[in-house]
Amino acid sequence: MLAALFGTLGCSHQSGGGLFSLGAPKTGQVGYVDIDAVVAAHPLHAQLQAMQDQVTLLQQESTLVPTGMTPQQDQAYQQLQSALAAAQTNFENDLGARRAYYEQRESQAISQLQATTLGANPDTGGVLAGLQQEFGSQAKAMQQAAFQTLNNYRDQLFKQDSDHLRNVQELIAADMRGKLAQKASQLSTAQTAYQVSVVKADQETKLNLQAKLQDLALTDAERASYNAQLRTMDQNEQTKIDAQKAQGDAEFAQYQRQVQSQAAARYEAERTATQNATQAKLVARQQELTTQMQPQLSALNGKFQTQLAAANQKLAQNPKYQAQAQAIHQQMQSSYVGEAQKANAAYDATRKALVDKYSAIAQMQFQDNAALSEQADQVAAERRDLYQRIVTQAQTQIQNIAQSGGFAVVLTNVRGGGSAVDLTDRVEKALATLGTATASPQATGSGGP
Amino acid sequence: MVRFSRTPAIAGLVVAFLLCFAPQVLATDISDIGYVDQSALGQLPPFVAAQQQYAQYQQNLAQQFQAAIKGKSQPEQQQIYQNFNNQAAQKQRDLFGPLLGRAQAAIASVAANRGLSVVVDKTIVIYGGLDITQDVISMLNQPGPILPPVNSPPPSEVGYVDQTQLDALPKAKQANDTFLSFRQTLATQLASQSKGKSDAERAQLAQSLNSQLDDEQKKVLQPVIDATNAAIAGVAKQKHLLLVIDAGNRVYGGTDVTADVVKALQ
Repeated sequence: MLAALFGTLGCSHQSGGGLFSLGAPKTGQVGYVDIDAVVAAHPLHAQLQAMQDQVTLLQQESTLVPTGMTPQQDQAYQQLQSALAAAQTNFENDLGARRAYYEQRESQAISQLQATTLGANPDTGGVLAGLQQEFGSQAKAMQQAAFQTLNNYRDQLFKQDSDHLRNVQELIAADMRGKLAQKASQLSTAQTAYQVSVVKADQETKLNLQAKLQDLALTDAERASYNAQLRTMDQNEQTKIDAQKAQGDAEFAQYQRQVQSQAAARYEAERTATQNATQAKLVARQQELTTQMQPQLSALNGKFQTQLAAANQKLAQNPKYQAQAQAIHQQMQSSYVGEAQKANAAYDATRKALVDKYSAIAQMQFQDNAALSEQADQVAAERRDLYQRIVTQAQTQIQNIAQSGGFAVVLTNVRGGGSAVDLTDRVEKALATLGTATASPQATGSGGP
Repeated sequence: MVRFSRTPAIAGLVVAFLLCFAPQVLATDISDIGYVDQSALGQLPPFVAAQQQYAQYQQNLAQQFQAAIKGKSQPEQQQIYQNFNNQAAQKQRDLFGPLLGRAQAAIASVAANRGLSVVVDKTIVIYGGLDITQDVISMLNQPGPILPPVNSPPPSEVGYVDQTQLDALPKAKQANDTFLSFRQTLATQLASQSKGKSDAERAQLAQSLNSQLDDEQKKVLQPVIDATNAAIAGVAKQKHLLLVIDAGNRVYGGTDVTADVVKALQ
């Protein structure tokens, strides 16, 4: 039904439905007519077909490009196409600007008229704009209040997070310092113990050497030898102690790096968790605010729609307003149509002049394809009009036949006949007796196939 | 007589041809055919508002689509196009679904109150019938939900057939494809042979090709049209129907004969 509902928008129909306007007929026959066959049998069908042929030919011609041109002629043809395209662009821009100008003027005049009619301020851009402004401001205020609430909540959460993370940072730093101090102490104790063990290991030998050096009868060579042994032993002890200390320092540095890395990871994990929790709280709060605000916004919108509907109803029921609005529309429309007609005539003349100019340059006659296409559209419109006149005439004959034959309903576009009566022949004969002279010359402007 | 560009598609031909050969039989009394002007319903404020809303939505969607396909590959663009189409279809259902449901309920309710067995679109009624448009509009203008009638429509002597299902049958589809292919070939031929010809020569050429097209139409499409015509007429008689209309023109009630016609054609 959707397609049917909107596919048929704008269709005209002239059936005799009024005959049964008080209820369904109780008796009667059903007939049907093939409108295409009736139109084909109409005395004016030849004219209709001739117009269709003309449309087809014009459409075909409008797409043709001249062949067998010399390079100079081809150049002139291309220049003609460019000039025609430029003229068309100028014309369309000009027409668009004129239309926009009159539309804007009409809109302004109608807005002012509406405001005056409804007793509103005509300088606020019309009743609709006034209402939009009023309700828009209220809606905006509500949204801003909600935004501010959310902002405050966010600031509060951020401050809490900041304080919490600072505490965490301090705790982690203290923990790290404690671990490093403990490690340093361990290493220092080990170092001292090692120093003692190294000194103890040489203590007896060194005491013996020192005792020997107490002997006054030692020769200079012996004294020098004992002193040298003592220095060597001292140096060896110091070397061992230094090596042990370097190893301790390296171990401490590595431990320090490890502890710092662990501390950084702990802080990062805490920061991420805090941030996620805050984000979740913010989203929840935002949803809560939206839910709270939605009924208020809906109510506001309902109020706006009600006032707008009331204003529209007042305008619809005001004949003076309707007449004035119609007059404004007609005035603007008339002005626009007048200017558009002049612009169109000038545009046609420009196109013709361009075709003549470049035909003279190329020394061959070019054609204006756009003009041919326009001509095709014009003939097609005339054909549609004639078609509608034929259909209208056929409908009149069908109604006569139906009334005299006691038919309750006559349909068309039927896919297949059962026990209903095919009236096509009768309608064709009735139309044939009318002759072409009686075919209505009144243009209807309606559409048709 | 240049008619090259207006050869109808198979569906249109079937309609026209059926009407030419519909049998002349005795009339039957009738009292239950109504019609509604669907275009008038489409002009009601809720429908107009929905149309405007949908048009605005489409416009916005078109802009979003243009932005979305920038720099995308062909397959990606196709995927995006499909997504946007789905969105538009969903929006259409959201906007018009409730309105159409309400309109259908109103039509069914009025038809039931008036004792109508079938309601058709106004465009196919040339004379008579019961116009229920105003009743439907009045009901639609009332606030609140519209309850559909509890009873289903009475059996109708007006049948309807879904042409899309008939067109999808293998024979019809093959005939249509063959004809369209032939027509395309002739169109190419006309374009190439028209070059450098005078107006008269071009017109003559077009006439010649149109004649070939007519012959092909009779050869390829006519048997399908004849078969469909015979099938629909046969079903109409077998089921004691007054006539059969296209499903697109049926609004409420009627007798669906599509399955019978399909069966007869197979």
